[in-house]
Amino acid sequence: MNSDALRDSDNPTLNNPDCAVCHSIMDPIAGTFQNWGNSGQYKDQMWDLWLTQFSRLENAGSNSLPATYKLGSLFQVGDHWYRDMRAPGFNGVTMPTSGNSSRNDDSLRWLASQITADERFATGTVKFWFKTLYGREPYPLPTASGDADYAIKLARYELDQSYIADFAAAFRNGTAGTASHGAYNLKDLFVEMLLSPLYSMASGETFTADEQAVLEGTGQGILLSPEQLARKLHSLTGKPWFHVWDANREQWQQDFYGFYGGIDSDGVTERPNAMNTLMSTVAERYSNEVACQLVLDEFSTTAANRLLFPLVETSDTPASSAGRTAIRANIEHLLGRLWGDTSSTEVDAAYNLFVALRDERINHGASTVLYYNDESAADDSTDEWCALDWANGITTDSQQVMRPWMGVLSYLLSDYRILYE
Amino acid sequence: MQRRDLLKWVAGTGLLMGQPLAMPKARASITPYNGPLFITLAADGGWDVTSFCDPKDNTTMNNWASSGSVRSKSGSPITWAPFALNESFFTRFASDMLVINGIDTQTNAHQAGQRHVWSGRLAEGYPSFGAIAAASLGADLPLGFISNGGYKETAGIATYTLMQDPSALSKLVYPNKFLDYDPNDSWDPAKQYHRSAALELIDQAKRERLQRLSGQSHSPRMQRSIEELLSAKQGQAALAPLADILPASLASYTDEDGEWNPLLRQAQIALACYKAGLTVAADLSIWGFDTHANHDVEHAKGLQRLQRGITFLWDEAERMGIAERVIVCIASDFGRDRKYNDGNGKDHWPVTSAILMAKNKSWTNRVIGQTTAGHDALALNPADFH
Repeated sequence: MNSDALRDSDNPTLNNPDCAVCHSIMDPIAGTFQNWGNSGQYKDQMWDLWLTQFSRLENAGSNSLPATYKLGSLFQVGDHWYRDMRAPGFNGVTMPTSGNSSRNDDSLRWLASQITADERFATGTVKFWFKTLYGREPYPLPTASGDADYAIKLARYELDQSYIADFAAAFRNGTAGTASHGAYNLKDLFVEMLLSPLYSMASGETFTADEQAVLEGTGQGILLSPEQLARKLHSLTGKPWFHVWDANREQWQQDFYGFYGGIDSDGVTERPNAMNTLMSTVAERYSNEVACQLVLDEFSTTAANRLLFPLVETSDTPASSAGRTAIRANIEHLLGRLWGDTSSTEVDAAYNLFVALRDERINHGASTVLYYNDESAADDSTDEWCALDWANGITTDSQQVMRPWMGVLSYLLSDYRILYE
Repeated sequence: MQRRDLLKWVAGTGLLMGQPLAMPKARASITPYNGPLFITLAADGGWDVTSFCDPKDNTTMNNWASSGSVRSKSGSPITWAPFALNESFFTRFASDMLVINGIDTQTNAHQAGQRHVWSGRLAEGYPSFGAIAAASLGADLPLGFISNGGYKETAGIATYTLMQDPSALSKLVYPNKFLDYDPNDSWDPAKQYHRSAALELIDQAKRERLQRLSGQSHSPRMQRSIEELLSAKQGQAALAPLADILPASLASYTDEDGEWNPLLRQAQIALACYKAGLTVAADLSIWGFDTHANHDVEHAKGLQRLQRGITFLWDEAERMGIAERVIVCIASDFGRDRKYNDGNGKDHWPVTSAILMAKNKSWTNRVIGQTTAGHDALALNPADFH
């Protein structure tokens, strides 16, 4: 950048070629926003009384130009835009502003018609949705060829650009997706983008370190935001993560929102794309806090109405063949619902955890009451918190299976398959 | 391009240069960190250094010049404008400051300015100073780089942790503890969600599950994210010291005069995390400096918030006995224009300043770099750096 141009004070964005190289593209588009003032309202300036004093009578609400400009020498009654700025337009075409064809009153509609008629609209659409679908922005063009990883950065950029061009062409000519709805169909574009390896690559080939580096933003493994996670877990378990004493405090999006990568759109405007230790502890806490209530709520209703435990009852224990079958069947159901992975390895691991948790309880004489606090104990190691409905709800577990189910849920709900997509 | 074509494409790039792959580092054991704490403090929006540490008593440039003059302190080359809380601020801290004037950011665009100031590069994708410090000095620390929203690009060499209301932090240090009760109340509730013996079994199952996942074949992104999760979980146990050091009473979000000021709590938490041996670098952030309208009033408010925040930071560091190990860098996107605009605001200007602060260092109580009376940057003689 020419630093002298930054010191130019003679309306440089209009007159200085170093500035105009970009502003000649941007400023006409800015001009099409002419009808919205600083408060974001349509033609919000009503200075007619003031202006009358200066013999410049105009109707209230004629434009959005501020009084500081209108009282200067450039303004003329009937103007909608600054005279020392480029006229509203797009891509070299000036917006009509006179006669019956004037678009002064609906300048943004005119801009939209120009943008959507441009061939680059398809490319812009793909880039707009890229991060939403792939969890990251397209890689930028690297500019420092002397960087040690320049070749990798350039390959990442070129790979993204290749995909973007392919998606845009399919969006433009109506071949995107599988349903053939025709040109410029957004649903078809989404299908096209989601079917590509950029989103769907799950298991990998054997890559060299360089290839892995080029593809590190490719395929599954997108970290979910706290908003996404809250919706996903509510859907999977049927329950939001409320604070124990406040059913209006959804904790993914309140107490732990910032820790888990939430934004405040003020100082924090970007979400992290990598898991850190504190984020992982939010997931741990969630899985510990909610497990008890989920199990109680599930077993308080009929099997047909349960989301998580439809195939097992509190009377089913590993002591009987039927009990083992029911427990394994329900574990397979949980794995399918929560992880989408019902491999025998994972079913065995979760089943073994259930059995180990139950055996440990029985071997150490753990309480059958679901809330336990021995106030005489030297430490809190045997404490078990749960918010019970002592009058009408489940409070005990004679078969020692509900606490093991809570442990299995804690195991499942903080897993990689929950936190990433 | 389908999967097969993608693989062919990658093979066709001929990338066989053997570049090291920056994968998350497994944490075998964590050594508490007690080296320097690097705090970067971003005055977001572009500050007016001609009313701060590079004063210009020109009435076209600054209204304060019509009634006041440039100020200084005996025995110090540092000068300041009679504006905001400058008088008390510089009087107290000038001897702990290295002022760098005449920094040309070469841009008037906010994001480009932030990148240039905090990474040293105008181009995208280069790590911030905090990320470099954390990667170099504390790659195994769970909170090596704390962010409060400033420029925090890591370029994959470190992870950053966003901080928020720390009243919930103890719940994350102890994710199995029930903490929603008043410890001063007579009620003595159960303190854990799972018995300790059960939790050990659950944690063991989780570790084994992650090891199974890690050993399988995945997409490159999935492989990387599994390693990230593994590394993040391995850092959990190291958080425990934080619970003992977190202040019982958190700093207010408002100044002594009732003005909103998030810097106080940001500073308090950064210092506590450092004191716990978990943090190398922290970015603190405060906005309100992009004063395109009503500059004098709004910018004075911004500087006052900044100055009260910095004062709190040093007071707190001294109270905790760690002030000698704290290094603070204060900077902004760029500077502000040499004249007022139609709305009594000031627009953007590429020339700016930065201030480094530390206690008892030979390089403080000093000014490097100069600008002209019109606030153009003068070339720096490298010989000044010694």
